[in-house]
Amino acid sequence: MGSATPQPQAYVGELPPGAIGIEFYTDVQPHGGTVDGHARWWPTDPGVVLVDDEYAKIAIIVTKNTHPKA
Amino acid sequence: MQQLSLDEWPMGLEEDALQVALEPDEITRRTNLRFERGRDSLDEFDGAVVALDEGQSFAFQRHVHSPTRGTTVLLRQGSRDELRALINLVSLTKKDITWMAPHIETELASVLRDGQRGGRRIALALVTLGAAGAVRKLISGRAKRTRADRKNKLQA
Repeated sequence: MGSATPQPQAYVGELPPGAIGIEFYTDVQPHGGTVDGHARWWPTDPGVVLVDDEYAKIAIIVTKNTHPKA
Repeated sequence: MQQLSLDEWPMGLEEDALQVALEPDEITRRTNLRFERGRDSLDEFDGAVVALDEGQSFAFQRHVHSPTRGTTVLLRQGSRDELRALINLVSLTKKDITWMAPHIETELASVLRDGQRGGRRIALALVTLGAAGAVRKLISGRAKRTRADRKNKLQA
């Protein structure tokens, strides 16, 4: 829902206190920039790799991971 | 123009085109669109999808944990008709728009300019009609006075 194309997405900024998720850096430029506080990468963008037409991935450096299984 | 459910989200409608400084409730107040809660690969969001008559469409999306205020509008590339319909539907002005994707800048400026020209045309037409009414009143007032003067003269 929202999009049929696999797209990595992220909010811009630090993970809020108590939130579950990962905080990361990436050199891969988001599609259209991040001005609206939201980063979205298209499979056709440089640095985005489409996997089996089901997932899209980008290279990141994780700086925080608050997932319970982490 | 009709509203679609989030389950009917059109294929290819996934380009962040605009960020408007309006929260979903303000958009609902202006348009009567109903926002539904959905979920995408990032997070839960409140969304509303609008379909135009010729299969064109646009959508509003507000992720619930977004660090910024406002609502994102998704449009297809080169969608001038959708842009015009969106601006008319929400009565968007330049000051409502807090961000626009680079590919849409020229079209948006053109559509906003057309809208302003239309507004001026209407205003001018109203002024002209008003002036015509005033002229008619002046003429009819003068005619009444002339008839009254003649009557008065006759009676005199």
